[in-house]
Amino acid sequence: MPTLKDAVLATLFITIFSALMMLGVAQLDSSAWAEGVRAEYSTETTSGEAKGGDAEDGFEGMSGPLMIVLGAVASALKISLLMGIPGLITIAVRRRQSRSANQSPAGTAAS
Amino acid sequence: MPKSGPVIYGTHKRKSINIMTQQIRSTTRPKQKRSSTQIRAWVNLLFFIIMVLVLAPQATGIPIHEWISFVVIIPLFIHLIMDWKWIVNITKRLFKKVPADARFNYVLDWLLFFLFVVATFTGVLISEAALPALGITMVIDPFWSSLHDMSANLMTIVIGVHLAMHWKWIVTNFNKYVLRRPARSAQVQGGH
Repeated sequence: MPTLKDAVLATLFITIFSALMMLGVAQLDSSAWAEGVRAEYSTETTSGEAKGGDAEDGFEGMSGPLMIVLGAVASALKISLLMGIPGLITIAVRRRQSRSANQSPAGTAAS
Repeated sequence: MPKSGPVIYGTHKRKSINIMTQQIRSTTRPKQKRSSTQIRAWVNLLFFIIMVLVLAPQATGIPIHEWISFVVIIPLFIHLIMDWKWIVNITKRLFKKVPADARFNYVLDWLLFFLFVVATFTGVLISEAALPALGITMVIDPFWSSLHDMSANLMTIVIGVHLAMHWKWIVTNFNKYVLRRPARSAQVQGGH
């Protein structure tokens, strides 16, 4: 368990570091990238291609409960795919690495 | 009879009562000291559940998504504080001899932390419910909105890799402390 001193130091460090990161990210506000995204968005809005809000993407015109169920299913699918695929690949790579380490002469000698 | 007699007797009585109370306590209430691994397992499980809720605004709705995003900062801090020694240790030895696994975990954790900060910061800037409820209104900038989506999606991917990197620890300690199944192999100590 961390000591109180460790906890206070960690909290301070994390807070200061996050603030510095936020300051750094805030600098992007006036970047060419930001201007490009804004220009693209305004073009889309004027040409009528703009999409709806975050929570209602793709579910416009549906009734309340159905929208909630579809939203939950879509979120579960999205999270499962985005987390699951890289996770499974990582586990497979790690297993392969440990297997090859065990089969190599150095691994055999170590074990 | 000497005047000090009852005082000595009283002290004795108090001491023996204290000893008896301690004995009763020790027999009726066995010590249930939670190990740091057990606390870590529960905090990490709670962190994961809240994180999944945060990453599903289509399911929870924007107001819950925004308020839970503030709440998730607490388990994040605890998660980092619990592993602070590991972070400090690897930071000191990063350019010396460090196992490849630990180095990869370290870089990945920094990336995850950066993405978390970006997603939180941009989330505050495009807040539709939480900040207006506190009387702060902001114009939603499409740039911050797209950066928020991008960082959140990337963060989900990196969380998948992070979980996979600690999969053995997760399975062992989830079975041991959450499902309370007897361990099949030796306990895996520490998150890293």
